[in-house]
Amino acid sequence: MNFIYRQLRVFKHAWQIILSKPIEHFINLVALGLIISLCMTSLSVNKSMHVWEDTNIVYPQIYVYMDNQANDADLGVVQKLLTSSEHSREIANYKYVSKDEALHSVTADNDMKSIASEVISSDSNPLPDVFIVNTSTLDAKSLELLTKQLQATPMVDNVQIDVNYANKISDLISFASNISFAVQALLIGVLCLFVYNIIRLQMMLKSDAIKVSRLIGASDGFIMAPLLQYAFWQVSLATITGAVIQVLIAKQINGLFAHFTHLFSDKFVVNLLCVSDYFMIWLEIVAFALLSVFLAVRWVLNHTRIR
Amino acid sequence: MQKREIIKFQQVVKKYSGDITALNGVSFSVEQGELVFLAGHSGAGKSTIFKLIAGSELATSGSVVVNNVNLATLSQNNRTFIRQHIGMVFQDHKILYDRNVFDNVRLPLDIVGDYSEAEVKTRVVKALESVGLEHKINMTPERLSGGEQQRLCIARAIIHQPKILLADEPTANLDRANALKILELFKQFHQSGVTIIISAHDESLLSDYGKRIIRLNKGQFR
Repeated sequence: MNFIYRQLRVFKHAWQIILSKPIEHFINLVALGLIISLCMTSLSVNKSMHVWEDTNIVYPQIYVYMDNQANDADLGVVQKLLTSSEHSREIANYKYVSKDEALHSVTADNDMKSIASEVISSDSNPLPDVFIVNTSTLDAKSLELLTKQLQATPMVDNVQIDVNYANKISDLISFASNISFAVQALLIGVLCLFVYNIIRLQMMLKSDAIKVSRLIGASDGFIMAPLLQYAFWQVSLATITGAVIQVLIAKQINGLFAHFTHLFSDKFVVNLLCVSDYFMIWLEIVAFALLSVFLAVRWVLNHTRIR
Repeated sequence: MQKREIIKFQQVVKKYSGDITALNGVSFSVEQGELVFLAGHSGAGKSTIFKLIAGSELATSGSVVVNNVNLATLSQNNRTFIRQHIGMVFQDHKILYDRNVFDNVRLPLDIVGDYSEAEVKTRVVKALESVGLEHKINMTPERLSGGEQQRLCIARAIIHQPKILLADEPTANLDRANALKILELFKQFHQSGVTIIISAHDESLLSDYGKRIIRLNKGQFR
């Protein structure tokens, strides 16, 4: 029972600290919330990049451009090659885009209208029929062989493939991931320093009470307990604030990306984190904040002589 | 029946940095339930004796035994717990001005932490009654006179019913009438069996009480 009384008293004391100076603590809360939201945004961008990579560019694509004079029989030869059992290991699926579909899509796209005005205004459709082949291997030799076979097929004008494209993108995303982790680590470091400084200032403001308490027998734990709870509530509220800010940031980023998202194959979207991610971030932040409080209290107490 | 020694100093030397000797080979003991006065001018070493008993300082040499425990053998944290069983009254009161009388007096109970809110309330009222401040329970300390602030400090020192009460110059900033009232309060607590050590530089206040007076001069007994 006494344990409960003690905890309730510590809880009351922690909230007294927060409510005694609401404006200062609100500013601290917003600042902590911003740091946490940047951390969350960095994590969600990182996760979204991997999702985009997994759904779009795991393996290279082959673009098969047909000659303008190609007829249905020529197209049939290419289709036969793409569906043959010989290449079932290398080819996941393919998409055929006819010259008419391509022209229609160019005409319908306002952004493309100005760029492809000559194509649209010409009497005949100058666009070729195209096969977009999604491969299912990174083996350069077998992809090269497939490309050569496609190139050798009658009425095939051009075949384009960048075998190292997927690897390049993958390396780029790995690099971005590392940057993201570094940013997260940096932000957690900033958060720790911020909490450390808040606690140090709190203790300096209450230095008389701390000195008197120690003089009449207060242990370090007694002095630390309300500050630990104070930091716990402060960073917990800041995590909620950070999550809200992160949702707003994600909306803004997605709004900006919406205009040129078609450049990146399937739509790139900054996804929100799942509940377990938010929970893990909260746990991590609380742990680092409590460690910062512990270090700050130890530092101040070691530098406070009882007189 | 012989009373046991609750405080024992043996050849205690205390030196501060800069080679300042505050105590130089002091030996004395205080029996349980005894009221002792420490007399001496400013700088004689009275406050150092209190700090050594409270464990906030350690002796440079010699031994300080409180309640059968040699304080030198304890860790800093355990010396802190020793202070929870000692009541302390300070010359400068050491009152907290960011809280009212009630919250000042309850502080030692919060530190010990074994009391319910109802118990705390009962004990605070009782402690304030014993020093005649029960009607000022919700006041802020700034509104109390010097004598009342000292009585508040005494109420805080006795609330957890300590075995030992140390009063460092409790009458120093008070006029004679108020000083005598304060000493009368200590006399009452002494009658309830508390061991009390009171320091004062004005010996004329102490002589009427017929109690042992330990006289210090420059860190040694006179």
